[in-house]
Amino acid sequence: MKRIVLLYLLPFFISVYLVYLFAFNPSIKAYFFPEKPIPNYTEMPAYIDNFNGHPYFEQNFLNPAWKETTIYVLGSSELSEGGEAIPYTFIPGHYKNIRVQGFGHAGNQCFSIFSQLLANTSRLDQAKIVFIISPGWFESKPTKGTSSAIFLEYNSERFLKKILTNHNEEDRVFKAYAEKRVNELYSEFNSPSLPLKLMSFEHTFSKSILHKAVFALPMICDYHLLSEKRKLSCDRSGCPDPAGTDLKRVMKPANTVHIGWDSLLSYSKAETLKKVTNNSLGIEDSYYTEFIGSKRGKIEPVKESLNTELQDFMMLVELAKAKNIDATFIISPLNPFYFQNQPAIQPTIDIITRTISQNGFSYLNLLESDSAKYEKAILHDVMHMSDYGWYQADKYIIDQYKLDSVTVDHYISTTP
Amino acid sequence: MLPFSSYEFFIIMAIFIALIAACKSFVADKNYKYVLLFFNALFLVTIYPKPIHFFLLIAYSYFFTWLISDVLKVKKKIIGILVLLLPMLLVKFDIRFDFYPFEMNNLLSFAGLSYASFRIVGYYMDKSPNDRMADIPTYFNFLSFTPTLLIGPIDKYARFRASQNTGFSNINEGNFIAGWNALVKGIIFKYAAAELISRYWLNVFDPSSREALHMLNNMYAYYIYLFFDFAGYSWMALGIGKMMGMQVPVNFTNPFLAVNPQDFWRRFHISLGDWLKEYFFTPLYMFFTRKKGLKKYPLTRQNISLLLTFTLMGCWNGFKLNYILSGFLFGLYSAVHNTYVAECKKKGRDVLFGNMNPKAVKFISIFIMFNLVAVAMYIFSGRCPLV
Repeated sequence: MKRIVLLYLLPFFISVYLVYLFAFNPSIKAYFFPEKPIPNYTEMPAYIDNFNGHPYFEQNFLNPAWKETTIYVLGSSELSEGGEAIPYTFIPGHYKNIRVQGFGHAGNQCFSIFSQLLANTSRLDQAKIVFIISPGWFESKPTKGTSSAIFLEYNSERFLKKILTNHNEEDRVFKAYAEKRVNELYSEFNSPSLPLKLMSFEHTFSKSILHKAVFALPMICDYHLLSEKRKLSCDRSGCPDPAGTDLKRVMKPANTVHIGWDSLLSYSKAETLKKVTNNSLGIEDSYYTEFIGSKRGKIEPVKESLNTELQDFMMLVELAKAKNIDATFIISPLNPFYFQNQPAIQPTIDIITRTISQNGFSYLNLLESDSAKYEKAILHDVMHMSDYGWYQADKYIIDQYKLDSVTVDHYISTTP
Repeated sequence: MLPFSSYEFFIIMAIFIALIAACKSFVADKNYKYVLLFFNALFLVTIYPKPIHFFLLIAYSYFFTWLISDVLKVKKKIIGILVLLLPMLLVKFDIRFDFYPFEMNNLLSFAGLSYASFRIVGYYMDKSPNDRMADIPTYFNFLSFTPTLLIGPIDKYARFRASQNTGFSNINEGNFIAGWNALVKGIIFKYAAAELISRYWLNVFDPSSREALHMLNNMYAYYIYLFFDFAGYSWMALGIGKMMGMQVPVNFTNPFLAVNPQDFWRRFHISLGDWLKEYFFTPLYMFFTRKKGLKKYPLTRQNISLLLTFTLMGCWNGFKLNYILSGFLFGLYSAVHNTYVAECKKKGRDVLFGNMNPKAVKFISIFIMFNLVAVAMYIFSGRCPLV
């Protein structure tokens, strides 16, 4: 035993300690692994697809101190389409002191958005957030919820660390839910980061006394490493970062703009319909020729109890309510001529709208399953809005946030 | 968390080893298997991603082995093999029964399924109808022993049980040091050598490049990477096993020095080579021996058996062209070498090297074998742009 301790265990622990010292010594680490400083951008693009490679945008996500009043539009593939009518282009084009920040691309579903918000709970009070809800998330395979790859595009170590270190009692349920969902995705992550591991372990840890016994020591080590890493990052780029700043909002007068909605809507409708000549489904010619032809879609409804995406959505709405977000929801349409059994999604949509209403939020439901009532110009393909569809969304957002009335929010930092 | 996937696994294993060693002082030797059962089950329940799947596989295999071997006494072993391999075959053939949100493969597929299936078949093949069924704790330990759960080696039931029977007495200073050394060797292989090769050599050139030099580089890099990665796992499993009191078989011994295909499989993934020889090659050879038309051609029988055995090995990795082709290539190498050995015996001299200096013959043989294996492994990797 003496031989084992002296010749094997002792040298092992000494070498582990030396490695530890080396890895967490700021000057040694800074010398060997120089880190580029995060540039302090004064402008942020109106649309950001994800945070991969954009740490400077990430740290200003939902930041009340950033520029003037911002309305955040969070959603998936429809936001990456661009165009004049999309809210992040149209609204700032008319309301000069209003900023609209579009964020998200295909796959940015409820759990991804939920985690982004949970990582920024201190910035949510009265934040104006428009959630673009795609019915496609709630049928067939997308009901499994946000994929692991997409989740990581939007939830970096920085965000996950913020969720982990959020010890507010009122956020406990939301944090536990995020940990449970990360745990479900965990086996799909390749070389998971420390916060990701810890989120998964936290869920496992909470299962039973046996789990606690097995995971206690690894988690103590992981939390220690996490805190060391944080210290190291503070030594380099300074703490607290903008995320930790206390912020309050004040009101400031807004401009009043007149938009001729009737003419704009009828013009855009006519323009969209001009591009539909080779089919009776209301799909733009080029898209129809390339992707549709004789093909028709089928909605595959999934029971509420098995619909992870629906559960994610419910938690998202609850979080929005708990954190006093000035939120609103837009349910985007589907083409009932293409999805011929579209009424099959209606029970799920009813749950969604009921959840929104019960939590005191408003919504615009553009989904119309009755093909007789469906406006063919609202989509340019089978699920993405045309200019005509987006103008309806713009009008709704402007009315919802009363941009034509007296004031808009303006945020200032109270940090001296 | 899967075995060896992160440093936390090693912390947990260190705790397990310490507790098993502590049990030695107050648990009777014959009860070692229950201690091992507790820790294997604890790992599955608390850490392994799909514990129910694994428990169900153990129950499934135990029940069907008992039913086929003891109750129905089915003589044709192939029926039992197919039943026991069914979960793995459904996954490997990618047979899907999708009734969304249920997907058959999601229910059947889990890490470690292949290795467990091979152990299950090995046990079934070794068991005669007169043998009593394995006792449940030992059978459970045999399939779920944590260090070998994910990536082998493919142990044999009788060997495992013998090792388990002396479990507590195997926990001593000598075995701890041997285990420690094997563990350190494995860690260096897997986390230093394989990692460095992966970062700084394997991806130097685009894998899809068809330039000869790029392909050569990728070929050698992959073969050497695969060895360090795989052997690293095996040494770590052996090391942790030894420290827990179990003797895990050695799976790699200098495969780069192999002089012929037969020698190669005695050095590279030894447990798989042995498994294939014992449970596939030999029965297949015996089957062909009974065929009238082949009775007079022992060499042909051997070569066909070799080709089929190694093609099966390719299929085990998945029913994809690269796996099957690489398996076939290994079979071809073995068949050619087998024919060469037979010719040498027949003519009483080395038909290829003649009277060349044995040292030179050995050097040339190693060089040829190294390159042949590198080619087959390159195809196996799926990174060869020509396949």
